[in-house]
Amino acid sequence: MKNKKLIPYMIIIKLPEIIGYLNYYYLTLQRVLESEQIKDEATKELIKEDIRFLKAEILSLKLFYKLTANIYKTNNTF
Amino acid sequence: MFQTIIDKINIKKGFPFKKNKIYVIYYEYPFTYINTADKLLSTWFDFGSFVDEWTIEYKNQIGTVKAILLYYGLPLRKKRSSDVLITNLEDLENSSDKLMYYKVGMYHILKDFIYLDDIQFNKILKLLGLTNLIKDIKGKPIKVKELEGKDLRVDFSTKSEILDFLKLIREIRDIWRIKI
Repeated sequence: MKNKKLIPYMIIIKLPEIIGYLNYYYLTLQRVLESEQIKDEATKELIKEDIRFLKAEILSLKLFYKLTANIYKTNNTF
Repeated sequence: MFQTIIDKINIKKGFPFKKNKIYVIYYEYPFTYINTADKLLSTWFDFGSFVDEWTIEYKNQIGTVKAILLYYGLPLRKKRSSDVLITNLEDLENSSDKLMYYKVGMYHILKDFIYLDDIQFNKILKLLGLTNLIKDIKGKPIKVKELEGKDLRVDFSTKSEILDFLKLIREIRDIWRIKI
């Protein structure tokens, strides 16, 4: 059985790692788009959609992290 | 005209694939296998909108089937749609970088699994053929006429990058489901 008191701390430890990975995907796709390596509009459209998703998810998770960190009085670094 | 001829061939030679069934075609160059689509695959998210009619050859018999084509796990419609952003064979063929189209297409599909309630990730991996070697899929080997003579191969190792992304999606989903 999970100790519920541990869950917020798991979030606080795990979230920065997840946000870091999302940032990696975000920056990689952004770089691909800016490099003009992709010539066709269909792939560009998919990349733009994925970037929109990643950006939204990064922002939401950062907010969630701040909220959790404030509730549990932990130093937040974002 | 062409459709009528195919229908006649289906009837005459006892083509084993039924018109009222949905199949899944697994494509990984140079292999192509067909199997009956698992109910989960056709109901998850909008996989139903990926069902298309494909012309296949099985044991020298040619016919059409309604199927979801999975290109290394990525569902592809035959043609692009003007109003919805949907991964499709036409755009894949015209893309300047097929590997990138495949990758961003997979991200596009997999990201929506964050929002589904009753999702079983291990089942997704199996049904999309992401963990299996394609030869392990218990299906019938076929040829898909629409794919013949086209160089659509992507590096097999890309699948592991896709698995990393899916793992991330799974973790995000778990985070959103934690009640603090």
